[in-house]
Amino acid sequence: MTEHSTNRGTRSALANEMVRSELADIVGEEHVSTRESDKLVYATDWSWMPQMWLDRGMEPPSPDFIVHPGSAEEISRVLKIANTYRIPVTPWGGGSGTQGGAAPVYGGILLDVKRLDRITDINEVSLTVTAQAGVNGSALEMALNDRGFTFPHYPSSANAATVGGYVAARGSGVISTKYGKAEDLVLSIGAVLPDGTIIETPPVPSHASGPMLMNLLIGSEGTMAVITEATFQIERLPEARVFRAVLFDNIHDALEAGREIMLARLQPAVMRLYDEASTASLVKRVLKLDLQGAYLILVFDGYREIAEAQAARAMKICEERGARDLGPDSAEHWWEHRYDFYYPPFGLSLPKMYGTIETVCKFENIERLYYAKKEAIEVGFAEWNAQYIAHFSHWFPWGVMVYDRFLIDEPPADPHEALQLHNRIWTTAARTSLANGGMLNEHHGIGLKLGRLMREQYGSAWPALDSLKRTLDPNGIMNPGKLGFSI
Amino acid sequence: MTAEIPDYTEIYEGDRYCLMCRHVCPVERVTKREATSPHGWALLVASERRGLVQWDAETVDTLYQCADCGLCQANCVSVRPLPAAIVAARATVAQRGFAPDRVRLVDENLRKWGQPYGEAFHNPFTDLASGGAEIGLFVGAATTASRAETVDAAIKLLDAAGVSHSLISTGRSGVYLPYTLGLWDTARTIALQTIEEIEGNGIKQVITLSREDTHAFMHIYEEIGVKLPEDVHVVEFIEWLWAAIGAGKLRTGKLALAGYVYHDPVHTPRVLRAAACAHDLLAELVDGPMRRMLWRGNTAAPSGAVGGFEFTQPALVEMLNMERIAEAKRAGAAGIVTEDPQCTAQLAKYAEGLPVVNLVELLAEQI
Repeated sequence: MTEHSTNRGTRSALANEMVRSELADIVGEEHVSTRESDKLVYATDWSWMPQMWLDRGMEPPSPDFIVHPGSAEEISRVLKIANTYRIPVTPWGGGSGTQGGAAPVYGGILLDVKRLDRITDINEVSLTVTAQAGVNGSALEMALNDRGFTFPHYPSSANAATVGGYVAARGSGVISTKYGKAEDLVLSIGAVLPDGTIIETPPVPSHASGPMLMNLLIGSEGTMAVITEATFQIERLPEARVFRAVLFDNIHDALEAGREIMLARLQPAVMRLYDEASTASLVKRVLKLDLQGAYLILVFDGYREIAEAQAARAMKICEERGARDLGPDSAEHWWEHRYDFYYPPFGLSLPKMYGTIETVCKFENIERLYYAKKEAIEVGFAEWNAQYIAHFSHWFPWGVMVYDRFLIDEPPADPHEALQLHNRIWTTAARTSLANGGMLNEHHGIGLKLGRLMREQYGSAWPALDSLKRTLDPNGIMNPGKLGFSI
Repeated sequence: MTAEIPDYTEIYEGDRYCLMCRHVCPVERVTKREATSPHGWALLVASERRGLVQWDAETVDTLYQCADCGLCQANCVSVRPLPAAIVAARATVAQRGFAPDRVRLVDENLRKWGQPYGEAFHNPFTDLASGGAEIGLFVGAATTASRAETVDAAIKLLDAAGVSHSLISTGRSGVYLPYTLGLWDTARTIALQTIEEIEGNGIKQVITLSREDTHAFMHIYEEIGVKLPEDVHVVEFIEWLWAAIGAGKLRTGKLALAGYVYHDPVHTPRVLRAAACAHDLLAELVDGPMRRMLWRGNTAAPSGAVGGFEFTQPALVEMLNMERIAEAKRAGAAGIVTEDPQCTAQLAKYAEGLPVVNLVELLAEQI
């Protein structure tokens, strides 16, 4: 056992109480919890592994202290205590990550930032918003909408996720194809480094004043800093949204049409392509649309005449690829119900086994990658009747993300066997992505789930990244077990 | 007879990891605790059933921190009855003898006095109760205790409209309080006594003053297995008022409420038809623009007059009320207007100089 893996088993009750007392001195008694109900609920984020663990009656990987700091200064002081006693710290925003990034698997301090909940500035000149890390995504959007603006980051997790989580996990939303991911929308951040140093990055992201420190912390999933505030680009609410939906006979023609729409820079806000399996299952079950083929939804927004011109050109491209025009209604229906997929009873849930094994690659690789993963799951795990479904929802000028998932209706009952199978499938899927020009992940992150594969992703560059982590966090207190960093 | 508690297993299991209504939960937004959010409560109950936690003073207290405001259900695309499931879990806890001491005290008072305040409760309306009228103004002990002025105002408006009415349940608790605290046997007893009074007085239309009571008649009676007489119609006072003004039975002047915000009373997402009447009435009677709460309509956050918190969670009462006041101030409000007597009383207590006025009382002043 290393010096800093001081979980509950290695500290006495007296030592724990001494630490709790110090933490309470910083944030106040009412903002430090050792309640059993809190330990239980903070043991699981939205990832399958800890949820399954709990579901099968196993002891949850719970934190020792749940701390709710009210400022960057308080976070700084908490981190100094954690360094002194080598206590793991797991930052927590909304707990909506799917990769176990917020699961406190080594115990210690669970640092819930939701008390940092102020929108500190809405600048109507530059169209920016500055919000503290704990501001809820949907609450931010409601506040902006009341003033005629929108933060064009619409993740399905917005009702739960926080601004800090958006940035820490490099998240994406349904209109990212036009407006970019969270990382593309952020201008600057405030953060507390592992040693307690409070920093602010430069006010704008585009400059030639040295390397981008901000970009090192964005996507670091709580391993290199606690993000406390972020300034984002916002937009005026669009004058119009123009909806279109088409059906292709096959995924090949649909992907080609999507590629051409991107290369033509037609800027769809949404271009969501469901593969044949998704169209026949998810689209049918949730949207009540009975279609055979590859279903593509297009949304263009902004000034009506521009959006309609873009839509018209995109439809021409689709028609040239043999698409059947389904009219605007089903796309508008999808828009209105775009998050229904994540509510019970539509969302994936226990006791099933599932995982979003999504990735991103350049256009030249996407079809090969898609079929390779489909085969790896459906053939490689045929004994478990593994199903593979996918949609293509976040497009770039150079490539596309495939949001693919596996699903097993009847996984092993034994939690150890289930976890082992889950890991095997994920490893197979991730290696198949890497072998075909893909990444480990596009926007769900690495967390606990994929950390072991980071060395394969980065190859000879990995020691440099690992070294940066150790330099910033020499005691290894920050979110141990995540992103594959050594403990 | 012991009340039968429905089986909500599927709700606990399905909602324990659903985060889609987190943003509207008013309790989580003030406590910042995951355990006091919709998925937290569902996970707590599901985990207790697995033996991962036990019901003790701490975990039961957490269970009693759900406001039972209905917002999670109202904002669920599947309209899943999580609030009812949480209350059912409280009822199970209470039946097993684990209810908090404060809840037991409420139960004792309800059983002995018919209301939760005990001997100290003063009922100024007892002598006004009379039989014979087909319209019954449901008063309830909570309204009497918190804002008797609203009852006086409602009587004045009914009289002005020439409506013959009786007062009912003047000194008796409504059903919502024992129901939400998991005291279902007591809730059933009170529901049956109320029905007996309604039928005994020949009342065909019950007019409620508080949205909590409207919600009780519309939904809770059925949940606890008590059937309202089929020929009895329940409307909220604001609905009656809007209709009376529309029919010319009441004449009112304009209200000087420009710059105020309207506070949607607790349980608004459950009784949207009444909420719509309040909005229509204000739109008609207020000259100039009103300001708006951020959390309104289907996402309207409650005051502290919810979930039986007055008796079990005084800290949450303060937090919810202060958050509503802060929300109004952030909206630049000149004051707060609402029609619910309990919400008026609660918000006024924490207003810190911000005027809090009751719509029913304002209109009665014009008569």
